[in-house]
Amino acid sequence: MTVDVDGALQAAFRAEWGRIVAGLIRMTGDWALAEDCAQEAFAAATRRWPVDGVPASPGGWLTTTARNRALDRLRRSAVEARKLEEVLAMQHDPDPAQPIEDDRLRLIFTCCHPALALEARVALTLRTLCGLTVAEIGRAFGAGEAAMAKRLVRARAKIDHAGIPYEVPEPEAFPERLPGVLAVLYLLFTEGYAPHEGDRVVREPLTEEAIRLTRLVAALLPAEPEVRALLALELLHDARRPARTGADGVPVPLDEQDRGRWDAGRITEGAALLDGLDPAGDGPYALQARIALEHDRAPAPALTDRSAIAGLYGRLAVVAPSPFVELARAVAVGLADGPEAGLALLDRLESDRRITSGHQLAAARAELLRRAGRHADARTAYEAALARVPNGAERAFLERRRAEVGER
Amino acid sequence: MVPPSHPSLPEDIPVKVVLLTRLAPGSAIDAVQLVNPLHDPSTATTLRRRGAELVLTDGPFAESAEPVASLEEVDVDRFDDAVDLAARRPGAGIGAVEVRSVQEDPDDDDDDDDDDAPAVAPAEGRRYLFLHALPTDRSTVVAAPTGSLPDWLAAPLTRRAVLAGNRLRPSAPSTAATVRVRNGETVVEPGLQGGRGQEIAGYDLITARDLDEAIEVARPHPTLAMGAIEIRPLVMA
Repeated sequence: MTVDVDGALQAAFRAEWGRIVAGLIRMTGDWALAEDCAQEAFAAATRRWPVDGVPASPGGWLTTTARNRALDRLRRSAVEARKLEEVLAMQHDPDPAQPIEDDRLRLIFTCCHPALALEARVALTLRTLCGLTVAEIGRAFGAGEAAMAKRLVRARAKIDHAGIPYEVPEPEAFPERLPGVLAVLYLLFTEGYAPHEGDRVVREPLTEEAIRLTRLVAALLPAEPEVRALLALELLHDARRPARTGADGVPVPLDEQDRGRWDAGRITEGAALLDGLDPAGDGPYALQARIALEHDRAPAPALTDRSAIAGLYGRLAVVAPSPFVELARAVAVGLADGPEAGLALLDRLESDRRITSGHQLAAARAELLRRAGRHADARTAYEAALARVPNGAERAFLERRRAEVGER
Repeated sequence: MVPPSHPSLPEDIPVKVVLLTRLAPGSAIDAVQLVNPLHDPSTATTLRRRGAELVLTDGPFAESAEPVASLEEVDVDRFDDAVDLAARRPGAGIGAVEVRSVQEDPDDDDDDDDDDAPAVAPAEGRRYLFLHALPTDRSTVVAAPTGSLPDWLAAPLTRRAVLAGNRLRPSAPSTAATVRVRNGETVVEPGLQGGRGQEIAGYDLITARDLDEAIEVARPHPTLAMGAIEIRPLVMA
């Protein structure tokens, strides 16, 4: 047989894992059982498909297999007998009052419930919706497999004991609940994009998972502009991934990247998503996406619309005020109106302890001083930044810059 | 049993107290031995308000080596009797039992007392305990929370949910004690241990469909103006 069974299995895993787990959780209310049965269904497919051939409907085959495993397990366990009756009754008598809803949306809102710690939400989402193994999640977040397993067990216990509902919140609650979901998706993406530790700049699978998941949420909640905006933001940043790291693993600054290697398809898709949004209603993700788009569509660094970017950062500082946004705004203003204008804005941040402990403020100051031609001052600022930056690619970059201004 | 000695505790008139069993996580004690047994503190959710925004955090309002594991209301003739009762509770031999005096409200005669028949039959569902955390020095905050408490108690959602609840008197050697039994001997420490910045200033036992509904019950509570509400699920029989 010439059918690519491995390819079919992988495609089915990506397309079906989250849906199967979500359906089993609704059916049994048991998260661990749901994951186990989904796992068993895929293991069965790995055995059967090379022999029997890939079924006409891989998703249907997997769903039926997983569901039968779950029913078997419930049948075998006497204490679960009552639950099995409920499950069987439910199958024949679907609640007509319940709108038909993708189970995965319930799963996302439950995994991302604000009563769970952010790390727990991220780990649960990767495990239940994306099907990453506990070991993979542990590696992605620099935690051991045992520690990650414990975190997941604790999170599931909290869902069960504290009664975190398995449902999509009422639309009135969206303003309060959706940001928590988006924060998890964005954290998945940024963790994959600029990991805190280690020296690889891009963890490819995690950015891919984040985009896939954001795409799913955007499809399930088509009326929510910030979901579309987040998808655009992820695509517009990810478009630069091929050019973002040099052969030596050191990050290449935006202005020095080979723009011919940017992913034009992602830029087009991101731009189209933003085109469909009313700028008057822009939230933090939309504004960040518009900033990314200004960079992405400039054919050369000198052709970047710096004033537009500075203006967008000004709006972002209003919608999502934070010292880190002010920092980015100062740099943008420095590039639009001259380094001295940016440095003046940076001065205002010097008393903000939320930002002075990190390396970012000193690094931004160094960059603007370097552009102003004040190399001695720039060198001092690079030293200050290097004293605070952890090891890794960012440090190598700052050392290179310091060497550039030091040689004068 | 050696009679407890606690010279600074008052010989009081009949009082209502609550006994808070405090146990280190993982203590070998069965939930059936406790009154209103609570799930592990890792299942707690703490509510605070930041501006207009309600902020949820995973876990209890303050880390504690011996978190609250159960809450029991008792009526006694004297505070000392409550201490004797506390020493006989199973948790006293493993962890500690905290005795706290209930704040009897002079304004509204037992209006929030659990003797009152609820206006509406309580909803069927899960049970939760709200632990209200306020600054230990409450002199600065007393005015605000009492003001809107009647509004909260009168709200339809509250009336349907709340099964019992009380404010507790600020902890002092005359109003609170920590009781342990070690090697058959009762050790009573007046007041609360440790100089925690916040203490439990009250509680509500409620019933709700799920955690989201419990949060909705807590959301308008005046405690959130200056403190936190820890929501703890009860172990259901």
